[in-house]
Amino acid sequence: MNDIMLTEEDDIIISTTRLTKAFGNLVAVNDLNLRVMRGDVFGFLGPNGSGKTTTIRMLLGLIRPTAGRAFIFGMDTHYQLPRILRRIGAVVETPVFYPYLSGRDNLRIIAAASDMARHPLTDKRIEEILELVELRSQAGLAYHKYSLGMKQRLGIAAALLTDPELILLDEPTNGLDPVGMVEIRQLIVRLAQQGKTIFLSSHILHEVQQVCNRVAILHRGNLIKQGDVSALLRQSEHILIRMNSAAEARAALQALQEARERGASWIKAIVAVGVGPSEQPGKASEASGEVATTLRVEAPAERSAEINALLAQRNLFAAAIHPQEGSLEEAFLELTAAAQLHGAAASGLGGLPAPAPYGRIVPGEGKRQ
Amino acid sequence: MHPIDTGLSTSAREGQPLAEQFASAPVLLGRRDYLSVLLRLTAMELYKLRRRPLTRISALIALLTTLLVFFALFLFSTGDGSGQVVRLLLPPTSLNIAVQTALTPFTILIIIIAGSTAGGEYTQGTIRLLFTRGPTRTQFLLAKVGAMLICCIVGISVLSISGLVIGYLLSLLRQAPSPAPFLTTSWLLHTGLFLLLAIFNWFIFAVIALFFGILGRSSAAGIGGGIVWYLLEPIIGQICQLSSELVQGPVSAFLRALPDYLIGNNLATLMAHQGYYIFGSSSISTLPDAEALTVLLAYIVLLLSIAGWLNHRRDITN
Repeated sequence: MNDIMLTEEDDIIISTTRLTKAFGNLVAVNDLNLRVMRGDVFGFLGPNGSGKTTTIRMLLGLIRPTAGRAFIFGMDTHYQLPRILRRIGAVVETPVFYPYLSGRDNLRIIAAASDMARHPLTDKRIEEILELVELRSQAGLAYHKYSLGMKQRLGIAAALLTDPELILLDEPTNGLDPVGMVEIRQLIVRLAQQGKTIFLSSHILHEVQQVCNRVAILHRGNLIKQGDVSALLRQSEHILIRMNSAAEARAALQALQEARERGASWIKAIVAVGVGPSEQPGKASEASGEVATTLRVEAPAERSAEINALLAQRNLFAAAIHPQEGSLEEAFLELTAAAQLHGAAASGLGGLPAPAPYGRIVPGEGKRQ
Repeated sequence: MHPIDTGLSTSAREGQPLAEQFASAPVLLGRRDYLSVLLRLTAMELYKLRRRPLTRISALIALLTTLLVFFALFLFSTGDGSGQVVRLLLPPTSLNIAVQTALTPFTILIIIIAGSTAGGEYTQGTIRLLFTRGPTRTQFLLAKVGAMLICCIVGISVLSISGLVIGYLLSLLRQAPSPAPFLTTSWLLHTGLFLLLAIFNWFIFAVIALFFGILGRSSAAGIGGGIVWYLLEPIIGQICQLSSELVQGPVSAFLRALPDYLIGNNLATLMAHQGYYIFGSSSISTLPDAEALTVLLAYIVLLLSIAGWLNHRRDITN
C-alpha cells in the first residue's frame, strides 16, 4: 500500500493545498486544490478574471499566496523555488523581452539567467529552438519590431530553451493566426509525447479539448471541476431528435420518458427544444408559445440507434437524429452557470463567504498511461 | 525521441525530423554555486547594458564632453605666455580635470543608466521573465549592483585615461613647460585612491538610483529619485548651515552636524584629502576619512538592504 502511495506521490508534478490569494478584499484564488500528474497535458480553464494567471504566478513564485501551499515536483514553492524553477519553462501572459535586443540575443539572456553555460552547444540549442518556433529568419530583428505572434513564439522558445520537465503556458496562442494556433497545438502534443508535463491555461476551450487529457475549471477563484477531459465530455453528450410535427414530438417525448421509467437509465433527461419546421437544433423555445418539434435527449451518443428503434416500436419516425458529441465548451458553460447560481444563492443567504471548492480531487485520476 | 513530423516548420521538414532537431543540442548547464550564478548574471547584466542605446549614447556624450573641456583649455592657452593654462593639459592637473568632468555632470548619466536598469525591468515587465528562471531575487539584485560597479570602474577609467591622453596630445601643439617631477610611489598610491573614490562616487549614486528604481518599480522613479537626491543634497547642506546660525543650543549643533552625514559632503571630504597629496589642493576638511567612509558604507548597506527586502517580499503583478 505504502509503495503504491509513494509511486503516486512521485507522479504528482503540481499539487496545491488550499491555495488562496487575496488582494485586499478581493479573493482572486480561493482554497484551490489542484493535482497535475506527470505527463499530463492539463488544461486550466476559466473566464477572464477567474484567477488562472494569479494561480500560475503563485506556482512560479511571482506572488505569494495569502494562505495554502503549492508543491511542484514534491518541493514546496515557498522554500525551494530556485530548484523548482530550474525544471520549469513558463510563458506568463503576453511574453515580454528586452525591446532593444534581437530575438536571438534575448534567448542568450534567458540562457544566462537559466544557468546555461556559455558554449557553442548553447548557441546551437538557441538556433534549434528558434527554428522550432519558426523565428530563425527573424532572429536578428530587434524585439520591438516583432508582431504579437512573433512575440508569442519567442515566449514559447524561451520556455523550451532549457528542456524543462514542466511547461506552464498561459494563453500561448494569444495573438497567433489560425495556422500559428494549429502549430502551437501540434507542438504541445509533441512535447507531451516526449514525456513533458504541460500546464495550459486558456480560455479557448476548443484548443484545450484538442490537446488536454485533464482539466480544471476555475470560476471567480474557486475550483468548480477537475478531472478527465473525456469524462467531462461524456457528461455533455446528447442526442437531438427532430420529429415531423409537434404531435409526434409530444408522443416521442412520452415514449422516451416511459422507456426511462422502465429502466433505460442511460436516458438522463429529455427536453423539448427547437421551434417549427426550420428550427435550429439546440436553440430552446422558452415560453415562446411556439410548437417544439425537436427533443434533446441527455444520453450517450452511441445510444442513437436504440432511441431510433424505441421510437419505431411506437410507429414514430424521426425526421432526423443527430448524436451530439460532448464539447468542452458546453460542459464549461454548464459548470460556470451552475457555479454562478451557486454563488448567487450563497450571496443571497446573508452574505456568506465565497463558495468552497466542490471539485473532487481523486489522486491519480486521469493519469496518462 | 520520436521522429514525428508535426508540420510545424517547412524548413525543418526539409532537413531532419523536428523531434531530432529539437533534442539534438543538449542543455549544457554552467556551475550552480552561488558565486558562479552571480557572476553569470552580472555578465548578463553587462551584456544588456552594453547593448542598450542609452548606454552607448551616454558613453559618447561623456567622451565628447571630455574632449570639449580639454579643447576649450587648449583654446584658452593661446594667449597664455606664462604657460599656466597649458600646464592644465598635462598631468597631474589634467587627471583632476578629467575626473572632475566625469563626476560633476556625468553622475547624472550614471543615475539615468542605473535607474533605468533597475526600474526598467518593472516598466518593461521583464522582471517576471527573470524571476521565473531559477536564480534568487537577491542574486538578480546583486548582479545589477555588480554590473553597475563594473560600469563605474570602466567609465571612470576610460574617461580619466581619455582626459590624460587628449590633454597630452593637445599640449604637444603648444610650447608646454616641462612639469615638475611628481611620479613617486606615494603619488601613484594616492592617485589610485583618488580614482577609487571617483568610482565610489559614481557607484553610490548608482545604488541610490537602483534603490529608487526598485522602490518605485519604474525607470522614472529610479532616475527621478537619484537626480533629486543628487541635486537636493547640497541645497539641504546649505540650508542646515544657514539655519544653524539662526538658532542656538542643541538644535544649532544638530543642524551643524547634519551635513557631515550627507553623501556629497563625505565624498567631497575623501576626495579633497587625496587631492591634497596629488595636486596640492589646500581645501582640507576636518572630517576624518574613516568616519566619512563609514557614513558612505552605511548608506550603501542601508539602501541595498531595503531594496533587497522589497525585491524579496514583493508580489510581481502587472
